[in-house]
Amino acid sequence: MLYLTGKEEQKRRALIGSYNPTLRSLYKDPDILAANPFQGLLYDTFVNATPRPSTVTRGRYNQVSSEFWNTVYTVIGEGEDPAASLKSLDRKLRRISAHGSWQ
Amino acid sequence: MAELALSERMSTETETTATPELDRARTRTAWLFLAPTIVVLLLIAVWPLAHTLLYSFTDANLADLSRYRFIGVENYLAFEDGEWVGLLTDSGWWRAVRNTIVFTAVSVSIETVIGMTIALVLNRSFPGRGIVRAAVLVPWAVPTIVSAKMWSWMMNDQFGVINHALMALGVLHEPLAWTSDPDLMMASVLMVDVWKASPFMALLILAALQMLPTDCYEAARVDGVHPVRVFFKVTLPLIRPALMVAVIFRAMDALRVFDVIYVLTSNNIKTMTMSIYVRQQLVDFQMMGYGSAAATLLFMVIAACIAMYIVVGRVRFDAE
Repeated sequence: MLYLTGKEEQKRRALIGSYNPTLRSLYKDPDILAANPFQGLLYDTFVNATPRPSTVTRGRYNQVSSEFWNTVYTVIGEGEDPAASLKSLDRKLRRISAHGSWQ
Repeated sequence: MAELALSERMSTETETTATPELDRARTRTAWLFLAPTIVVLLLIAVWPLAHTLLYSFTDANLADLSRYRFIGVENYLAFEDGEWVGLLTDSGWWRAVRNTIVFTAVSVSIETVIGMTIALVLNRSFPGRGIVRAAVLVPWAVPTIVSAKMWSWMMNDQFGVINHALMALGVLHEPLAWTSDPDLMMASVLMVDVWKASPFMALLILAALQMLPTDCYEAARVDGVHPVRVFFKVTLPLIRPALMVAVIFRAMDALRVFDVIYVLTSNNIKTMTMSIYVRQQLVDFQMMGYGSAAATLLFMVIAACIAMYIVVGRVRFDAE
């Protein structure tokens, strides 16, 4: 496990197999950037990412995921107003979660 | 079955010469013959339907069906924290209803016109007619899952043969995402449904065309009436009863459409029909109560649509 998550092995996997490394420093590594320029772009994406709220939402995860997906879809695909869509998503999630209690 | 019972009753009513004793015996026999069907219908149609209706008044969850509370009509409509909630206020549900009705109206109209055209052609005698008749039925004979998956590959935005062909012909300059572009999805599923169901329409209309008496046409030919006029003044009125019934069959199918659309565009809200909405609530969200309420409303929407069609179209089942 230590070997697989080690810097050397992660770099080798990134260079040969384009696997995304888990170490932040490797996203700035010149060798990797030369081999796969797109992996440099992923740095900001991963640094700003949050895990999906599956533990909190439990049995209602599918509903939350679906509402989230549909809202993003209407904003990007149908050009709905992002602020209004977020507000309506907020209202829906509040109802699904019974005001954030998830009971 | 209802038709059978009806005609049975009518024939016993009209025959005034028969003795009352014979009448009773006939009615008894009719019920005896109907009994197995009634029992089977009760088991496979009425019982599940009643169960769904019952569940729609509970908060049952698919994860544990043994525990549920009766919550009245809360799944349909309830007033919570200063706003109305429930299925009747759910914009997702009404969007699904609208999608279904648009899908049904457009697909059944196009299928009727194309089916009629095919039937009129097949009604003429020409060499190889038998083979063409069999070939026309192929789209209807292929299981929907198979043909829908086939179309979804053909319409794929990266390796689909449709994009390839249209680009080779110079119609398109870049590939289109037929089943994921918000503006194309509905047209794509409609096209596949038309491709699939037109043969069915053609078959039903062809059956009606072959029953037509030839004397009207001979009279029209003697009088030198234009063929288009013959079609609208003779053919259409004569096959109208059969046509109306064919449209009802197709419309009922289209109103509960699930497979074609689910295979092509999955749960996308742009093409989501009532059946897909119900499945999502029942299976994806595990909400047995809410999903059952949606299933019950689906049943009522279809019943209302067909009832409206029968009244507006003045369809008569007993005229023939």
